[in-house]
Amino acid sequence: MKDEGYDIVVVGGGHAGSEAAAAAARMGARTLLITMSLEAIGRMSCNPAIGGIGKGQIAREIDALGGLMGLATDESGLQFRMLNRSKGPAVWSPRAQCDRFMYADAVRRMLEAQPNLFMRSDMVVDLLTEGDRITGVITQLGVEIPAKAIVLTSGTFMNGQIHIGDRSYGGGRMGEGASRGLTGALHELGFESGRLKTGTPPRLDGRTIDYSKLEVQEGDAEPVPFSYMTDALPEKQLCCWITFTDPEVHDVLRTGFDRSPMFVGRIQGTGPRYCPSIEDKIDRFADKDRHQLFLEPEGWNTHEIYVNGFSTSLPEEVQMDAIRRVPGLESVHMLRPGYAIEYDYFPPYQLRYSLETKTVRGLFFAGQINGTTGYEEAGAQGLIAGANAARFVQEKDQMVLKRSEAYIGVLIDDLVAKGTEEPYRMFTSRAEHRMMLRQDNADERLSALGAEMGLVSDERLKRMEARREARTGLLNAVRSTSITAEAANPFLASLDSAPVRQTDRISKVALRPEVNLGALLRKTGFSDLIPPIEGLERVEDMVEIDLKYEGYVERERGLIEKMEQLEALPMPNDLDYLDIQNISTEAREKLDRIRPENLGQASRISGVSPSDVSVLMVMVKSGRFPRLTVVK
Amino acid sequence: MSDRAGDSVQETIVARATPRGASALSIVRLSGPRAVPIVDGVFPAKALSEQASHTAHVGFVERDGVTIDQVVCTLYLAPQSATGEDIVEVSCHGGDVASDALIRLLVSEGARMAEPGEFTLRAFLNGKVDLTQAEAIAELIHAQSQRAGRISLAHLKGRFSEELDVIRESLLQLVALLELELDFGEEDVAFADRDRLVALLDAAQSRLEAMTGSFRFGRALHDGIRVVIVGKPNAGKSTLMNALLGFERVIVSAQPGTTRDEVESHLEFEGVRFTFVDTAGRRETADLIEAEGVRRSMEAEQGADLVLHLKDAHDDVDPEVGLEGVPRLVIVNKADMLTDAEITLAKETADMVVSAERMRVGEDSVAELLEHVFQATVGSSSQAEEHQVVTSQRQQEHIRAAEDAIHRVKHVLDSGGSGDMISADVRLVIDEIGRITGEVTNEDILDRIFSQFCIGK
Repeated sequence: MKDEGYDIVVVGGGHAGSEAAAAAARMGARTLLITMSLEAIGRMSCNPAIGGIGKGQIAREIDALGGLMGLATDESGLQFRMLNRSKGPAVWSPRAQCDRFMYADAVRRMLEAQPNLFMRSDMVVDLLTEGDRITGVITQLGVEIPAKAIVLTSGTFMNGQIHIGDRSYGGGRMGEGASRGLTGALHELGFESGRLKTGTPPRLDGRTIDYSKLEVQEGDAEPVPFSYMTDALPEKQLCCWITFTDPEVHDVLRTGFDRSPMFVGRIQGTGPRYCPSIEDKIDRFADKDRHQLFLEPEGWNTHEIYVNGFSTSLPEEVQMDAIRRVPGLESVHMLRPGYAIEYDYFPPYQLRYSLETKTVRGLFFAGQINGTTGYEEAGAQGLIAGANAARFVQEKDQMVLKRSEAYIGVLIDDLVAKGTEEPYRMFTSRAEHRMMLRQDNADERLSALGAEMGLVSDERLKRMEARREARTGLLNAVRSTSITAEAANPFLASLDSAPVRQTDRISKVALRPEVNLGALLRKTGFSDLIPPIEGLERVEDMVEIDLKYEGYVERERGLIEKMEQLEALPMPNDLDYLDIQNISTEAREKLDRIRPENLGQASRISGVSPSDVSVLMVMVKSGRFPRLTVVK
Repeated sequence: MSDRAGDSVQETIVARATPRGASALSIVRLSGPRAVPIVDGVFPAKALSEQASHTAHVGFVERDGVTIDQVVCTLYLAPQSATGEDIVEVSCHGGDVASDALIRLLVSEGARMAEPGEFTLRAFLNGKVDLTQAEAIAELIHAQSQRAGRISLAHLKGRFSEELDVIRESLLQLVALLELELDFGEEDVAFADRDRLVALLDAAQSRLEAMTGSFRFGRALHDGIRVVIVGKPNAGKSTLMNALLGFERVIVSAQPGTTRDEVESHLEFEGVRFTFVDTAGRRETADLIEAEGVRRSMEAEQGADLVLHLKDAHDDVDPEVGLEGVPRLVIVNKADMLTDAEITLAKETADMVVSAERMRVGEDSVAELLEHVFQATVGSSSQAEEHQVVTSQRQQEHIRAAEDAIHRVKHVLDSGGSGDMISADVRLVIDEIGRITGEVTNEDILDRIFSQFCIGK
């Protein structure tokens, strides 16, 4: 059978696939989302939480670009926390525990409400190409579906292999089959692939936990939403619980090491260092006599509990024996054991910044297929790949976010410019411009661009503009309004802050680390200066950040300007790096493998020195460089 | 990430345009949008910003009212210049002393030391060089940077490189601790207290300070040491000069000064080239106590690494008078005319008591004096051997910038700034060091965190 065809086919219905399909359809492309199981759309396969440090910023950026993640989180959230509150605002990161059933439901509902978007339950087994262009897919059911662009978001499904102790079988997630055939099809098109590994902890029956022995972790009293469009959050929140492993638990876990698929070498794929299994933790950090575990509810109406921190692929009986020695879990019932999963990925230096593959026009990759981990990282790539697939179909320029504009820009640049050899996860320390890339200003950074691309609604754009106006207004007001020593000093005294000697600008007083701008304005009779805004955030908090970070932001702008000059210079497709005599051997090889799109990207490749960059600049500007006879 | 590669054409660069070493003139060249205002800031003779392109202007380069040198500034305004940007060429007196002082001054005014091949690169980028020469330019940049690399590699050998590694290591450790706190605040890991951070900073700072100190020694090896002899008329300056000239084994040359009323004598001691300057000519009429005398003395002391203040035992000239920051040795002369009691008394306030006359006729050894001079400028020979050596002015500028950044970090720490701010400033320090040794990427820090701390819920 041959289908009528679509502009874009999105393969996969996880967090990358959902955002990709929604973004493409929002931009007017006729889009089909194919997934092996429609029931699994938007599923949280690992922990039931969105956000976290570095990831919360991405989630807010997805929202600022009109994505689904923020809205679904606000709707399904059962506990909201702003992490890192005691640290600088640049690293404040929202995180929410979600009801995972409600989350998937919200995503499914938004996709169903999206015009131009269609769904199909099937498995893609082959890709169709003509020359260097993708033309469609073939499914397991033998249907040929023509498309101008394809977005592959296969998650952990491509040749997925599940491991628990010495048991091992094919599967994409617990209870779901693996996807076969696609890796071979991609190899035939010339792509290189690798193997990665990730893991998940056991799920417990909440009725069998002794909560009296656990430490409670409450949500924030004043929760902050993920979406800039959210005006209200659920009134009630659920709490999480904290407990710890101890040496006895560790001893029991060690008894299973001889059957650990990781330690005996049955797992070949590289796992994430920042999310090690419990056996890895006690093995590598043998002197640490306890590890923290978070018990997180999976929903409002389920007793299923996720054991964050206890990811493992040890034999089930060892998992069971060990976990029952953890305080509070002495008689726990396990709903399902933890497991490890190995899957194929395609090292992402084979991609352009649009997430289109370098070798097959119209073929885009997003999510774990690119070596990342995490819902937020996947969703962000999905959104960018979906949007660029639509732009490709519409024959428009690629949409690229810079490192200085968004965590999403950092994420994609890291992937494309450096590749990754372990599952890639975002951290704030990866973002050299994190002082500017904050969760409080994602809308101001991205919504206008999103509107220009057709991703963002007028309503969202207007809301951002109103926020920005209020913010600028208050910023100017506190810079131009003076406060007398008589007015300021009683407030400062209440904070044990040194008195001011004379009348000064409000902005100057607010610069003191111990002074909160909102409190200062309210307690000294300046609350009239604060303009009202929609949403649950406070404009005075945003302005305080603007004031305190001003110097750093200024410095970052200088660096950004320099980088932009390099990024403005595209690298020719036919440049034969191996034949450039005046750069180092290491630079030659790396440049040849990565084939950067512009000089800025080239400059970020490790091993490419400043003088190499100068040499490249001279060659490209002059048009005099060795050329490839066959373009790679 | 280092921003070196992106060093922008917006910046104004400076470098010596003539070779180092003895010559009649040295030329220091600036190129970039701020070339004219930067020179204007130290050249009070006239406002260069109001002058036409392709004109030359004579005047003194001054800072804080102190003259550094008499120079000729030649203006080439964009686009009619070799690089296509505004260029100012400052011709100063020959040798390295004046031009070094000038470059240091211009850097402190906002210019940046040029990277290898950067003038040529700018010329090319601004269309000042035929495109057909592109390949030659690429080769030139490569060659120059390789040469600079070889030179700095030589410097980086041994202790110098080890020292930088130690500093970089402790700073990376510091950033790792800060980032651990920022990126893994939810984890059950112990964070560094602020005292530990301060201790790490102090350690890095004292190492950098030691390196700045070694720059003196490095520069001494490379450029020689300039010792200016001052003192009242008849204090014995000329006699001392003659004594030094008579120190046979070490005399290199004696030549009258060019335009300054000075006599210079060069000699080598312990492998270091010393230039002794007798300011006789202009000084004979001046009284040091008078304001005019002090001003002149300070002028003469510009560019000096050491001032030898020669005086009589009964002369109570305030030894503090002179240019700030230049070490001085107070030497009581004419010991041959003093009683033992007088010599003992003089030793209480002076660094040395000598007889220039006896030295001149060979009755006393000059070596003891030279040893003193060596100690005061270069440090002890054994210390010199132990020290890593920073000789390049570019390296020194980066070390200095790193020290500044450390001061800023401490300030942020003191004022209760947050970890993200502290980390941003520490990364600046690492970046400056990276400009000498090679760059650090963000991944280094994450690698460090992953290998040292048990991360992951």
